[in-house]
Amino acid sequence: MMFSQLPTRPSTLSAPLNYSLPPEQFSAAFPFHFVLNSDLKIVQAGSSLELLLPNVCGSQFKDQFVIQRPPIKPDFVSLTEPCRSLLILNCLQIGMQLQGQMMLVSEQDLIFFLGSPWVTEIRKLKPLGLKLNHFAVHDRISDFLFLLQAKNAALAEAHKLADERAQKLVAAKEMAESANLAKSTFLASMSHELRTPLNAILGFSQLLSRDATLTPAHLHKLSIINSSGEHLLALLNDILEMSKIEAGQIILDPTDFNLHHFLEGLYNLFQQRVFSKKINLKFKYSKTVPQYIQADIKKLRQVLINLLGNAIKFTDEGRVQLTVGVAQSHLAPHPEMETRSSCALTFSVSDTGPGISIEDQEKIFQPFYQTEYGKQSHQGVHGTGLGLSISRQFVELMGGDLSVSSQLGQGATFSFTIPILLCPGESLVAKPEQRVLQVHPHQPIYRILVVEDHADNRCLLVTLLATIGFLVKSAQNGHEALDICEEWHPHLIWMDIKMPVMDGLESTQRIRQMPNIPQPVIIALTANAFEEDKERAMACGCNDFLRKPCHEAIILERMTQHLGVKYLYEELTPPLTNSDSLSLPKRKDLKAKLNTVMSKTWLMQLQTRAINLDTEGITDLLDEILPEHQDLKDILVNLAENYRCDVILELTQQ
Amino acid sequence: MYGLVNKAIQEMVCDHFGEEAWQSIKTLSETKSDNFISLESYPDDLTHRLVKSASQVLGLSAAEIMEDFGKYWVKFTGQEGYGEMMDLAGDDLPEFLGNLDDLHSRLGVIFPKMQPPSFQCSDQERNTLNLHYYSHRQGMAPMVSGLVEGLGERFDTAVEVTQIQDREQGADHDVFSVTYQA
Repeated sequence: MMFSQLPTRPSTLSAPLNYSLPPEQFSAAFPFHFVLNSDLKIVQAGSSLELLLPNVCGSQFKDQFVIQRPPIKPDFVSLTEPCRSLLILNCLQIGMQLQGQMMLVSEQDLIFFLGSPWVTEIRKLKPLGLKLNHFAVHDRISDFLFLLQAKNAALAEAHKLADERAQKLVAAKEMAESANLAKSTFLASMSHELRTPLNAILGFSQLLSRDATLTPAHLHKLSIINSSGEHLLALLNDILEMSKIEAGQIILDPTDFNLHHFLEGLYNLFQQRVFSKKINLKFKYSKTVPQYIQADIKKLRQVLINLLGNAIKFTDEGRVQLTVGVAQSHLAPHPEMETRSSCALTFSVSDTGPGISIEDQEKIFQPFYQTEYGKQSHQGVHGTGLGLSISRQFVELMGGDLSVSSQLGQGATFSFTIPILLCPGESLVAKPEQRVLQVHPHQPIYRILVVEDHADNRCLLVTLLATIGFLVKSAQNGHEALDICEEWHPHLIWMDIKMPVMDGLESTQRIRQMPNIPQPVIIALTANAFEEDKERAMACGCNDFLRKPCHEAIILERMTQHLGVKYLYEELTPPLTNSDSLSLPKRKDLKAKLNTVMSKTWLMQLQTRAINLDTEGITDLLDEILPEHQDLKDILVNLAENYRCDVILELTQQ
Repeated sequence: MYGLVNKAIQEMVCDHFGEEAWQSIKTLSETKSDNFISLESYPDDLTHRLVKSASQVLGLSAAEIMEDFGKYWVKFTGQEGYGEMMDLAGDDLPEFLGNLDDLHSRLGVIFPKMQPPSFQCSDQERNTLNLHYYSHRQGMAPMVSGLVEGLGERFDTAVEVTQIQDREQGADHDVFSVTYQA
């Protein structure tokens, strides 16, 4: 059959062409075409359509196709109408759709369908038996399918890559977590290993300082051992603190305290250190700074000790000043602060030291970072480089931000503002500063069991408790402790946790299961420094938990807390070799007492003699102090003998 | 060259010679990426460096590697989501080779940076034909031999490929005589 093509748009350049195509060429150009006569019988089909529908020629249109779009009837007139519309036909014999258009050749009453199969997935062609060469070269359906397939392959590849990367991330996260766990375990273990001998060093040096036969030179050397041990402990605590911060284990622990006493204590601590330097240490705070506050005293102390310590370390002469003031702050209040009155305090530590370069100002807050100046000029005495990093984290935890302003050669100022709660002063009871001498005589004899595998530490605690006046027995491990408990019924057990044969946790559990003994107080005393160790110990039945090394005062205070033990304390006679050891609170108390017990005239005389540096005259005047105020007299005599007329003058000034 | 080619080289080395060999080749060729993206275009130079480094590390000539690669390429593309496209090109070796140029033309349309080679079949008889290969790239002829062998495997047809005209010998294109089981 021939097909005559009549161009619909006549050319203006040449006469319309009237041409025909041989059937095989027409079939190659439209391999899926078919031709309907006026009875809607299919009288011709393209080669590819015949491949798909072998008996299509000679069959009726309605037996082969259903018109899906547009909604027209399958009759000759209707089919000739939508020649400009897309015609979609569903094949009845096979699951395939043809898309194309109808064209009427009116001279011959024939309708030509020109189109091709419509599929959206390349894989659907294979079951139909269709390949590339079944499509006309100009037909873009195969290119479209290729493109879709390539995009699908790319998408699958992207998914695969994303999955692989996610897996790698998970693996990296797991590795990091396991490394972190290993680090924590290492730190816990190191902490234990270092704290155990340190406990013996610090404990014995404290015990030894009780020995009345020691010479001042021995005492001095002993104090060096003690302070070096304390320094080592501080370094160890820094490292542990940092690891706790990293593990998110640091929490805020607010307590009520007297801020003024706290600051005076700090002042005294640092007065000792600046003594050998040409530094004027000044603490400046006005009366508007509240006296009784609630804040995390331990963290505040650690931050201020770090800042003041750095300032003094890097300043050779000039001034180091701590300024505390009430901030005109816009800080968001603590949630708890809604019911109690609150304010914000600004703490600034400034010095006249070498200053910090702009580049170093942010780096100094990074863990382990030390400035070149710090490394060069203070070789051997610098710490871990963790202090400022810990301080900044602590200040942030307290609700503030630690910042620095400095210029090289102009000194530096570190400051932070934190919100605090105000609290009533009467809730605070001053703690005695005296040293325990012995157990008060009018008390039961307390039986104390010390369970500790480390011989030195066992000896230390046994000696301390026996010296104070307790009845003490010791056990080397948890198993031995069980036997002693059963026979001896101790009132209180100091229980180490990590021990051979039977550890402290198991021993505590077994003791708690003994039905026939009066249950003792059990206090875990361990070199393990992590919070979970405490939780474990408490869960096993311990009443309390202390970390080694632990100051003797705290050990004795806990015995009061749990057993109600009362002690006799040594007399408060501080060695007044210089004014620093007479702390600010003591000076204030002394001044108040002098004003109460002595007359104004007497005080005026004392002041005049102090101004004239007349120590003999002062001593004569002191004889007038009544015997019931002997403690007052002793202190003033001591001052006079040490030529501290300046302090005496200060005490007499109104 | 699209990343798909470099990816195929990587997989071939890993499949045939192990991950360690690939790492050596990667280092030697100064390849930075861990993964090649199939549809991303990479400089031809990188592919040449990979082949050269593979030749050094594996102790094979570049021609041997290219031939192996041609064989692997058929299997690789079949598995990487292009198998259905290949299905469209034919059910047996001669039909596929007959459609090879059309396949590349269409791929060239959808991957505009591909610069595909061209293939023509001539002198086709019952079990032989001559395959003409035209490419602006140098040194790829051994890959064509491998490719035809790989297609033989795909259609489970024993095949023998001999290069009978060589561009490197001055001819204007390469011609391969392909003998296959009818």
